[in-house]
Amino acid sequence: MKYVSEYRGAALVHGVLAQIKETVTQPWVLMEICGGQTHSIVRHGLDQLLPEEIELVHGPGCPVCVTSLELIDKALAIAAMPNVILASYGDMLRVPGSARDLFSVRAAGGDVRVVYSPLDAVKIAQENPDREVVFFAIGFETTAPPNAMAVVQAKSLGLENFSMLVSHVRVPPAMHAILGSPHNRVQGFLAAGHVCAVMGYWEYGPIAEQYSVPIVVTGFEPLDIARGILRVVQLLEANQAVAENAYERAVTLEGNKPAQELIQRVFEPCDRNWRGIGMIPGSGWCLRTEFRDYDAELRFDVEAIQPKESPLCIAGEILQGLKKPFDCTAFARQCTPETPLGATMVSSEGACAAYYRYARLDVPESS
Amino acid sequence: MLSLYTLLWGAGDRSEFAKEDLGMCLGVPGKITEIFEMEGLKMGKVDFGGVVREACLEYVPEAKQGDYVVVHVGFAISLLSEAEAQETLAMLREIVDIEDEVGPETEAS
Repeated sequence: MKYVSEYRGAALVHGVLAQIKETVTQPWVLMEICGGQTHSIVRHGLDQLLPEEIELVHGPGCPVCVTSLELIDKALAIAAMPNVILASYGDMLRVPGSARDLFSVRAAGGDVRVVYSPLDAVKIAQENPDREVVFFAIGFETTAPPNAMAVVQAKSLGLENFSMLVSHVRVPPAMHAILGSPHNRVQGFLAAGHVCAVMGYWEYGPIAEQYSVPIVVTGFEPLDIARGILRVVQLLEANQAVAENAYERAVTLEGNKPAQELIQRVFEPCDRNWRGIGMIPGSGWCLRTEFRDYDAELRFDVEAIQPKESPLCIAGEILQGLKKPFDCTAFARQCTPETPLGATMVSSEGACAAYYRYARLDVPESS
Repeated sequence: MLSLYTLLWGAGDRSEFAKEDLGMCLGVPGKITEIFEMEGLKMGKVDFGGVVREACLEYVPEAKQGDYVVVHVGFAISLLSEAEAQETLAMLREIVDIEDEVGPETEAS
């Protein structure tokens, strides 16, 4: 496939890896903040091919993983209502809420449907005018333009039975939260390629400067990731804290203007709770007042539920780059993709699920 | 009509292509084979190495038939630059060629 196979060739990847080895002179901790990159790194074993000086930690870049338990519990409550069709991306169905998941709501008779695109949810609303259709709108900046378009389309079609449970999150505030933490170990970032395809990377220069960390926009194929790592290491070794682009074929400094315009029209910044991390100020997008009629949180009176996390799960520390999946006593024991205790074991973009799937089973001896 | 992905995924299929390459964030590039309009939205048929799916092209208004786009949850979010892609590859091939000449430090199997 064009634009794919060229970036998976072993010779070029090994060439870049050799360059990294030549460049590195001391230990560095790098974080990728995109679930797609986490998956690609573990799938292709890139972390194991790097020189031992370089440690990759996996940041909170998986939208399914960071969607707050409160919102998942709300989705579960709404999905169980009699006249509701809840439409969701497939990964959300297995994410554990406090007491159950969307699959079990569906098994108990709830109408929960998997959609690939938010426009599929709009179509379901068109086809079911006497039912309430709620779309669980999760995701980072990449998913925001599609979800924004769904609301605009529903409005222009006059669909009164469509609403969204919005759980949008943004990358730059999460970077601030990680870099500003007293426990921070991250010295350089791979920025998520497709988030930057939408938003550009002009926001990252000031972050790089403020915290003295290089940030390099990176793609998803093995060659892209190797190149992103090489560039971060070169910048670290040269003591240059700047933001750069190593995914030129898809990303420009200013990003996708039409997409940004629609995001601005539909959403406004708000505080957001991240699962496993907590409240990050200004890290979310919520529907603007003009679109409040489409806000499922306002449309449905969902009583406050006291969310309850598994006491064993250390997803929060994994998402902050403080621990690895095999540091968890439940990893691959009580917690597997079939019976996940935390969201990082659910999504294919979650660090735990990727480690489990690609057999990173070097778990510590059990006591 | 349900998308292929929905059908596969909804039925619990876990094939590599369905689950990963068309997954949420990997955004495999596809080639636009047809452009049409649906309820006021610019749409296209996009070919991902043989799997053809519909995608909304509203965010890449300049896209033409034959262009490659990154598609995310049914929306093209980026029009790929052929020139940039070639430049990146040429630069990287140069790195590897230099490695070959001076001898790489590690084996390039």
